[in-house]
Amino acid sequence: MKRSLATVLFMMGMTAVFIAVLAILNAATQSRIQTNLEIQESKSILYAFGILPDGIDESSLSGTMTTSDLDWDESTLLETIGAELSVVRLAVTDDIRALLRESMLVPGDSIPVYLHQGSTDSIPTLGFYMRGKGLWGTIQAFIAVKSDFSCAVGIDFTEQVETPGLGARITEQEFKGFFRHLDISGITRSAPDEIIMVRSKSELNTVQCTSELQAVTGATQTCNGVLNMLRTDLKFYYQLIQMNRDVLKLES
Amino acid sequence: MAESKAVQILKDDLWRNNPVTVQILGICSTLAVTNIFMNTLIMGLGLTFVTAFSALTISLLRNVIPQRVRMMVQTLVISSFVVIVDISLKAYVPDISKALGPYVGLIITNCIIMGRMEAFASSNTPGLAFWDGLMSGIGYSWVLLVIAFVRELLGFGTFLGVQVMDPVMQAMGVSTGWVQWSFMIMAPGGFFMLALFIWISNNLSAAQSKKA
Amino acid sequence: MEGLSPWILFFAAIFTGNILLTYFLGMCSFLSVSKQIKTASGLGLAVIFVLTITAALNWIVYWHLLQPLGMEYLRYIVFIVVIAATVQLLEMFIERYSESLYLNLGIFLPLITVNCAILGVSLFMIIRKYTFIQSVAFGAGSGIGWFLAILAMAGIRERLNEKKIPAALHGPGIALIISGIMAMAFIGFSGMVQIQ
Repeated sequence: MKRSLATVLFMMGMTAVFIAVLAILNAATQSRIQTNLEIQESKSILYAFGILPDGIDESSLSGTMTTSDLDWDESTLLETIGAELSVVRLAVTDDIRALLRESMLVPGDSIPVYLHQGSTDSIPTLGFYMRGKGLWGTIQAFIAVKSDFSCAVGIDFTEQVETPGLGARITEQEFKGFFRHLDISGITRSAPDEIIMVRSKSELNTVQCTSELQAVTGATQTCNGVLNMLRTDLKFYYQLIQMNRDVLKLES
Repeated sequence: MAESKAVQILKDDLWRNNPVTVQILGICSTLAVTNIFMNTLIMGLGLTFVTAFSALTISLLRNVIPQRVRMMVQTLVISSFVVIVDISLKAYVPDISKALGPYVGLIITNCIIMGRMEAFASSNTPGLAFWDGLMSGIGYSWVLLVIAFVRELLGFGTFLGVQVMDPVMQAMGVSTGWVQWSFMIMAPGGFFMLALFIWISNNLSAAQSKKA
Repeated sequence: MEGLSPWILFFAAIFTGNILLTYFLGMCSFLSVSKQIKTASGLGLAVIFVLTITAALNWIVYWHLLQPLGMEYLRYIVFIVVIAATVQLLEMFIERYSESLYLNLGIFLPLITVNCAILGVSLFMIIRKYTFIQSVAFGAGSGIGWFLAILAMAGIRERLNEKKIPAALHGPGIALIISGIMAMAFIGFSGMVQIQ
């Protein structure tokens, strides 16, 4: 009896010691980790809008580069976000919630939409978060589209736990490059299935919009997840934005 | 001349009783992580660190741990070190922590670490335990690095992210360049590469013992 | 994850999302204990037991203890300690009631603790936000899937014993090749049933 008690006390004592060590480490590093996450998030958002650090040209990026490889200076990063983008929170009313049934988004009362005016003679670009199911877990992406939903401007994947070397390649330049001028106008015609995934594309979407994406070989589940996420969430956001054009100060 | 204990441990862990090819431990991570050389390197370093320091800790505590809870204490120590590594990487080198992120669970459950705790650290002095942990980690790492080298080269055509096979193919006059062996990037490629490695290493050690 | 029937989850975990042949978790003991059908089935049953119990326990601990306290970063430690405790209990039970199984399993009984499949199942159910019933169904199904896989492997290896294999491939070498072929076959199942 005494030995069992000693054993249990020992176990509890050891557990307490180690948990204390980890709790201290966690508390000490929490703000740093938070800052790192915010920096990463900001880089992704700017990348999706096509805003790259000064002097870096998109065509110079190698196919396997990810957003964290982009050389942003921390203060310039924050300045740029403040200068180029604005955020509007749109209310999620009950009628719009019905559209969220197939989506993995779980917004509260409102959902953020980012705005980028760019040059005064072009239509503004909108950016927002999407969520989908990958192979190993949830994929979260930030996509930027023209406010008339004719074309996508860019995408970045802010959260994913897919297989490194396979599914995780969606975070690389080669895959994300297909989103630079992706034709998503099918959404406006209630035909989201017009955005398709193909096995091989001869060229990236450069000047001319096409609605084709090239899948990553060996990552069928992940790519299908991305495609479904696109189709479902774009449908939702299109409705949401149509209902709020005045709030966003967009021309009708 | 009899080998010193330390040299014996070195030879055992690196070759004669290699954790991966002889003891057949740590297979899950071998399959998962070896499709990219850089990830394998980081994984190897992480695992070596955790094994060495867990062995040290368990060895220091070996006389006070009650027999009935020894497994629980070992897992507690091992997972604590892994979480320490994970949090520290996330805070100070987030880019590297991204490569290790999906594999954190695979280090905690890596049979090699638990195996060394049970077989060695719980009944040896701290110095030797630390050394054994270090050597086991290195024994694991070098096998994986060889496999990863081949898998990345054939699967992506790259080494450490730098395209190698494509220019070679072009130089050899194949205009389409290098066609990736997707099979090597996916799990079955890992299975077959490891089987090949074991086949070769078994043949080599059989030849060695024939000579002796 | 609402609306997903536990039964669908159960069968998907056995066949189309087999924890061993689709997600490649739980390999170490799979390769080493699959030499004989008897030992393999003993280990398989032990794994089913541990998986079901730990899925249930870890669900309760995570959603009712760690998450309300904001200590999700401790989930790795807490899960693995729960698993270790369960395996310790199982070890005491087997030692008492089946001496031969205890001896046959050897080091691989305590090594169930570090079977990546068990920690993997607990982590998956958190990431995929399963309910309690779904988690138990997922745990039981994954266990049975693992059991069937190791049984199949043991069956194949027992038959291969009579055939000629190069000496250096005996044991783990040939087991890896068989696993590779089985894995290739199971790639065909992937994506058939949405379990997230």
